[in-house]
Amino acid sequence: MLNLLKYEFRKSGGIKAILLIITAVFQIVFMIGLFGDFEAPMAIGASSLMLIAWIGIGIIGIYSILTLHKDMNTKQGYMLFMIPKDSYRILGAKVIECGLSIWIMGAFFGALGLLDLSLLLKEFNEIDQIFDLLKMVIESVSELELNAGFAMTLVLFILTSWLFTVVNAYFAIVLSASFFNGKKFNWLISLAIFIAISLFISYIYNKLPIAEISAMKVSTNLLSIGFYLIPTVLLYFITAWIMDNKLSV
Amino acid sequence: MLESIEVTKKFVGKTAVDSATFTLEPGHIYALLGPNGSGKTTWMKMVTGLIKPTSGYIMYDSKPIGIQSRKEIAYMATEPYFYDWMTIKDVGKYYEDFFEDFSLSRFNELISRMELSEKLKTKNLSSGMSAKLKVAVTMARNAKIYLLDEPLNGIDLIARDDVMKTMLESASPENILVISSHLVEELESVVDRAIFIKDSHFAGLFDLEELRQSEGMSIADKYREIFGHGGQINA
Repeated sequence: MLNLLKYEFRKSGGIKAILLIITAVFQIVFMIGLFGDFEAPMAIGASSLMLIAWIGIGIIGIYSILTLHKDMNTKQGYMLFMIPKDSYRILGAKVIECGLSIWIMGAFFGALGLLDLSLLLKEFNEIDQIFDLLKMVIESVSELELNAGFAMTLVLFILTSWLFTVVNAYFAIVLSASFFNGKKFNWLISLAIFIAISLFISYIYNKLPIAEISAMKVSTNLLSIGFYLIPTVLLYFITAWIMDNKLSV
Repeated sequence: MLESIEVTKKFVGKTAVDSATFTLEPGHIYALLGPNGSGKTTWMKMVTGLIKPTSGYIMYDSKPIGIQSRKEIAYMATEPYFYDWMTIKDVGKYYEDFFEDFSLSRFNELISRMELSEKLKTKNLSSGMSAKLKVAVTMARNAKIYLLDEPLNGIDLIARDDVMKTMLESASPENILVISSHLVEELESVVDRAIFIKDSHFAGLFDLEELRQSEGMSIADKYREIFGHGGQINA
């Protein structure tokens, strides 16, 4: 399993390096603006960092989906599927790599954001007051209790739901490759299955009381994470079973 | 022993292999012969587990093929299949990581003999170099069954001798070698049995020595008889 993980990380190493380089460039722009008192570079750097944080996490998930698609549809897949490992391990390595990458990148961008925010607060005291005011308004309007624990569980929930989306895409790709391979519009069937499952899970989630914004707090965020982990695990097992028994590459 | 029992594989609009039944025994080198599209590659991929049969069974030592058999079956595909970020050294490391029967020292010896530099990226290899690498990494395994799909494709005459030598070095009374090739005459001196596949059907398994003695035919003669115009087969 560790060897499988090692090679999954190796496959996504290039895209992660590119993301880190882009992040480093924007961070430098931000620092130059901050310490050189240039407002424009500071604003560009800060907004670009926020953008790359969200896009970067999205890209990692999408790249993982594309890697599986490549493993299913090119000769390079032989490297993966002729080794003496069952599909639960092969897919498991992909899910773990993607999950860890999403969460580690999330933590990295979160830590970087906190660092930049503390630098900003140090340079501009009035920003502290603006944040306090903003927090007070949000708490009074939405009855949310904004604190570090809430923020962390909320981010974790968003990342977990993104992992569910990725595993759902794995399922759709494997289903398409196993049962609709060679058929016209197989990608359309695959896309339809992906959307249908996403909508179904989202529909069920929105029916639950934990989904209401006013009810959001640390405990409900944790329950929401648990909710999205259930279909993620379920889809993982079904996908691996299909790979073991029906998939031809 | 490897048994193919009523193995059929259907793709959309095409039957690639139809009820193929035959048995391969250790201690023999088999030629797998048939024109393009006859089903040779599909059959090999089914033995390797890359393709699932639509029906029928493939048994290795009386057990259905699966994860365990992949440990003992070495497959060399005809197309290049290495990850494009890999160097030749990475390929050896990858096989060492996943196959217990892989010998890195044997691999290094083979790539050195084939004059391949371990620093070369697989995506930059010529078709001949790629073919040599595939043979080297496959034959560096101490497998029970070797399935080599068109190992002589795209390589010059001198390199072909190297590849042939490497393949034969791995043959032993304990293992089975299956070589598919269009170069029927070249296999004549290497193999001792031949399997013919015609239009997705098993068309016969012949012992070459028996063929020479009983029918006075070479493997090429038999090929012409089966696949030539109006060729009929009595398996």
